[in-house]
Amino acid sequence: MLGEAMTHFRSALKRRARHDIVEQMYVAGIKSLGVITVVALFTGMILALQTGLELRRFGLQANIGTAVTVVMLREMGPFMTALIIAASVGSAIAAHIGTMVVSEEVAALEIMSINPVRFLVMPRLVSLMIMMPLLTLFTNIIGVIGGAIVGATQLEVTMTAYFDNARLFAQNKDLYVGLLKSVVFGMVIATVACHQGFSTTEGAVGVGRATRRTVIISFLTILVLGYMITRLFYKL
Amino acid sequence: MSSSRKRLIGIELIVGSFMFLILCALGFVTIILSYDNVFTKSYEMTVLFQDVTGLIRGDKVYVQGVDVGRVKDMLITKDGVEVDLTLKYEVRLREDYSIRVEPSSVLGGRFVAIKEGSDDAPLLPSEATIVGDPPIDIIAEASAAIKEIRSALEEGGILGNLEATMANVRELSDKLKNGEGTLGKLLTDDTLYEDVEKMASNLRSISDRLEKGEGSLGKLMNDDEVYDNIAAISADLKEVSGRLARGEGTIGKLFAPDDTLYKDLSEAVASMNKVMGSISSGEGTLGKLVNDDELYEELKNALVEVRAMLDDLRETSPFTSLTSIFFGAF
Repeated sequence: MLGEAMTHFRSALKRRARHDIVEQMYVAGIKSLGVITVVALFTGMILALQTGLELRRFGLQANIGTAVTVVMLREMGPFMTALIIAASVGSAIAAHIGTMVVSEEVAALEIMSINPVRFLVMPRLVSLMIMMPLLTLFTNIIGVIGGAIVGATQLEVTMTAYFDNARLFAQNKDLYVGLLKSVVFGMVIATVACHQGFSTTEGAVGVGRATRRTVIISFLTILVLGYMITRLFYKL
Repeated sequence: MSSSRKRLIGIELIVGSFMFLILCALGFVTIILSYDNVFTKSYEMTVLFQDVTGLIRGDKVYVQGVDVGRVKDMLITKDGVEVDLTLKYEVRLREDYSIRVEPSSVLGGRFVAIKEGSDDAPLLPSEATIVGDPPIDIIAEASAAIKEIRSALEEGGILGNLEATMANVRELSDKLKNGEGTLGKLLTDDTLYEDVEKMASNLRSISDRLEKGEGSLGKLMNDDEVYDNIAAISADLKEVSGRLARGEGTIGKLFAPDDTLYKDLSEAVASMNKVMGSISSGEGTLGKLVNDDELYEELKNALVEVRAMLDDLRETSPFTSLTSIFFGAF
């Protein structure tokens, strides 16, 4: 399905498809900003607090900037964003397509010579591949800011010292590998969700099952691929 | 324009704005993480090290302790490791400059420390290759120090001395614990404490009596009459000593510079000697009295006779008296 959808990428430039993609980007991205903001902010705060409390034993709490930034850029940013999108957007995609399948709307599209993969999968795939890195960068920024808030309010690390330390060990490689992961995670979420949606059978029960399977498979795939990409770019 | 069209334009506007902001943020973060500050002027410097001991990109660069830049890049060449530094401050190296990779903490981390050199040294030519100093290996130095200490402990006999000292200390502590010796008794025996307490009590009693003016010392301390008497005595002594000094009185004359009294006394003593010599040699009446026994015998006999005569007179005196009474009228 992924390969077939990618063959239709060229049609994404068409006006009709572009409108579909933008609408999917709005649904997947803009409407998820609220939950992503809260999750990212508290992820950064938790990271800063846990790391800072341990580092404070040695008087090294000023290094929480580095710890939070590197962890957010490399792992937590892409991972947390992918989990949120898989749980909210992926399940919605699976339910949407699954409902269309069980109500034979997909069959009607085929009767009208409309390719369901091009019409349903390609816009969602493209929108998630574009929106995931943007949302990941947004998560990273909010997470780092959350760490700075905890540092300034609870660990006596000034904002200046925090951000000065944050850029000490973080590199562009960390940022872009994280963004690459998010692109892959977007592809995984869209593909799994669409595949589970098209595989829906047995009516409403099948839709629920497709939704649940989408979330589970997406989570597991994200974890495994996340490790593999990290292993690929960060060798011992 | 239909409502669906308006809605689509609104969505595109929101999504486009979000993408624009995020892409701007991406560019900003990329610039920040690349250690290149495009908004301020920076200076480049390349230093050749033989060993950078784990220096990495982004490590800090200090000039005389001030953070002035970062390590931008490193390249291994046949001459060593070329380290590119990005500095906010234009470093002016002199001939006696020093650039060293130093550990930032025991837990790890490195930084580049630059010392520009003394003011009296000439400036380094701009085309000169800047060479860093060999690194300081703290762990190696610490290992060497530990080895020296261990050698001193084992071969220098320090351990043996320590063991002997500890044995002595243990023996001493045992004695103290058992109350042996003066110090042990001090620690274990309460007698000294009780004695000291009694002494303190006595001292307190004495001080109370002194304060109350009891006893001679107390009166001396509290009664002004004694002082007045002593003052009067001292005044009298002063007067006497003044008179002595002025040669007044007999004793004063003795002390006086005039030797008239002395001469008179000498002459008197000489005369006395002369008289005593005459007496001793039996000259004169007194000398014969002293030296001649015949006179003594004669005087003794004369006294015997006088006593006998008086006895006779006493025996005859009643008769004499009676006859004188009877015959006195005739």
